[in-house]
Amino acid sequence: MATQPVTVPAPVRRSWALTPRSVVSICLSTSFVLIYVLGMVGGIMRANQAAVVHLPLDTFYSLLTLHGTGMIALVTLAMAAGLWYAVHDILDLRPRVLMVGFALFCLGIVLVLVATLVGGFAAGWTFLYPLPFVNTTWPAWATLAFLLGVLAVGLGFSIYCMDILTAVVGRYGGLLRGLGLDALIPALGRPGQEVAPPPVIAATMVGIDGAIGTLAGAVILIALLAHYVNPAFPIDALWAKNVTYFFGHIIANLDIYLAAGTIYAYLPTYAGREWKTNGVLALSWVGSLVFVLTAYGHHLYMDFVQPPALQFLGESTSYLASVPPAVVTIFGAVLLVYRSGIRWHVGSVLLYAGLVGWAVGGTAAELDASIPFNFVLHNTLWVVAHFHTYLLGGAFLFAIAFASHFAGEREAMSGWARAGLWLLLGGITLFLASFYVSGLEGVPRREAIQPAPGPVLSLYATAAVAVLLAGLTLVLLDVWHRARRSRAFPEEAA
Amino acid sequence: MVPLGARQDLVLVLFATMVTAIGAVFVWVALTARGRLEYQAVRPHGYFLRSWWFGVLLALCAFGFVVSLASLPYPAEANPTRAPALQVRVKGVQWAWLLSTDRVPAGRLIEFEVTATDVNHGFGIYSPHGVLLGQVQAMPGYVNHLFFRFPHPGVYLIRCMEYCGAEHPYMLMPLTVYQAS
Ligand code: HEM
Ligand SMILES: [Cu+2]
Ligand SMILES: [Cu+2]
Repeated sequence: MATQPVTVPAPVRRSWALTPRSVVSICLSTSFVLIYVLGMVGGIMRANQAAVVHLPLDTFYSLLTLHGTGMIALVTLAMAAGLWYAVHDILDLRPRVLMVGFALFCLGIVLVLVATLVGGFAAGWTFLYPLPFVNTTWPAWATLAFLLGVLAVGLGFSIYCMDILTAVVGRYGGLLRGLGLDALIPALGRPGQEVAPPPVIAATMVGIDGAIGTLAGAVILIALLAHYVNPAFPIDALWAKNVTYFFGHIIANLDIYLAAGTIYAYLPTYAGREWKTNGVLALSWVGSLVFVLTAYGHHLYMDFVQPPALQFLGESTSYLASVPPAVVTIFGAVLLVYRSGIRWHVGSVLLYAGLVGWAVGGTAAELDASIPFNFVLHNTLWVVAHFHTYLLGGAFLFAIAFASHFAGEREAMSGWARAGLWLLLGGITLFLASFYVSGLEGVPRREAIQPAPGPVLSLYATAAVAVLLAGLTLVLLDVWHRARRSRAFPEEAA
Repeated sequence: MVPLGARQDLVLVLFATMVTAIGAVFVWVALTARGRLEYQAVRPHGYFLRSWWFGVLLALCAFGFVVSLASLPYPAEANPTRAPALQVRVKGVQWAWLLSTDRVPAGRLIEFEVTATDVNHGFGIYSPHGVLLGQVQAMPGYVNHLFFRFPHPGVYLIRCMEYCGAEHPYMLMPLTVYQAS
């Protein structure tokens, strides 16, 4: 550089083209800005539970509904964009389709924002029938806006999944090969064709389960819309609960499986080792594919009228669901890092920390998925603790890791980023600890005003949220700064 | 702080143990990550370890499943002898509990027949010390049967465990458990 003659740098290109990089950038930026805001909403809810601020009850529950629905949609958006980027070359995916999915997510999120903040809709992100319709504190149109919003997000995700599945079939000539099963059963292979790499396997699994999950989502949403139009349209509460949780469980769970795809794609670049498909890996993904669909039953353990067969299916497959990630993906990731001389940067630190969140959140989930424990943990803050561990302390960290990698990590990690990581991870740990202890102490979830010792623990949590957000600010600014640099000097980007 | 219930205590011990183990592995691998070894040299050992880990985890799953069957809260398991129990009808409405009685004897098997008229509620039983002892859902159109034995006399608290609208946090009701003669 120094020996070259000084030239005036060409002006940065301002026009916006629909390239893989630009579409993924816009998905990530939108998602991070809104997650940041909804994280602040989470902090306000904790402050209310600590009796530091005093929101009207209906406001609290509108914010809770907004936070839950929005966060699930936004983490899905960020991770979907990450995995899309990891496989778009191999599968020849079109940025335009991702853009359509993104537009539907945006439409859905705007509808949810309007429904909750303007309309005051507050039936929770699970909108469990018949709550959205009975003695509501909000006008009927807010229910309609919310249901249409969730429908739009579901449609966006469904298009994303169908696009991936179509591309997998085009590239590998079948979904079984997309799942890498020719590594297990050589007879399945096609001569001269390589086995699908791990990120493609993850994408195929997410595509299949996502298509099934969003279909279930469409069924319940259309039933609710029919009931909205004609209140005489009959809905059975137990049926509605089964379908709602089948849908909700799949979508929330898939966030982490989307993330697994990005781990396969990017952890090896830090560790300097390859992660290849083999029979065990392929088999483990078939396991996950099945267990994600059947494990939802653990949401209905406390419905004693639910057929026992479904209860036992729920419990056994909830246990088994831990096996593929624990034995193949998380174990494999740790093995990949073991004495690899890994390069620590924002991306690799967060991938590694996210694996811890996944493992710990999974452990907490397994305890709660045990029927005798669920008897005293169901609908306590323990539940909220476990899913925040793997969504906030797992999937969301994977999303930032991806963004950091995507932004380019050529220069050494900055001191600000380092400080930000400590604050972020420390804040998350304290924040989660408060939920766990509250849960064991019997504090129910979704209480604007909590019984003791909820308020004291909420106070600690509120402080932890401040630390967490401070760290998040530093980390995101660091990523953003690097992203701008690599846009000005694209040749430097990773 | 509220004292931990027996089941909560067990959850805490199991969770703390597992989190410590997970943390130890991750910290150790991170701390030793610098010394570089060829993956070819590491992988065979890793895969050997993995097959053991697979076996252990599968055994844990099977063990957990079998053990859990021994203390299910469902009617057939909670009242295996089908002994007659004192029946209490429970109805959840926005936002109150309607019980056929608010006084029950300690030490006897009580059968709560739990339902709801408007939306889903959750029937949670808290000890006089504030420990959550158990729960069952209250769903419109269905009756859930909860067999429960109150260990000691005292004033217990019924608390709604399922979000049921704005006043959900206030859906409480005391239940007096008296010493049976
Ligand atoms: C800064 C980070 C975050 C904070 C401070 C936060 C805080 C909270 C709080 C206080 C609640 C209410 C708990 C209760 O039931 O009493 C909650 C619920 C919830 N959060 Fe978060 N959260 C954060 C990040 C996330 C992320 C990343 C997700 C990812 C998907 C998420 C998903 C949810 C969901 C689904 C609910 C349940 C909503 C409902 O009950 O309807 N949160 N959160
Ligand atoms: Cu209630
Ligand atoms: Cu309630």
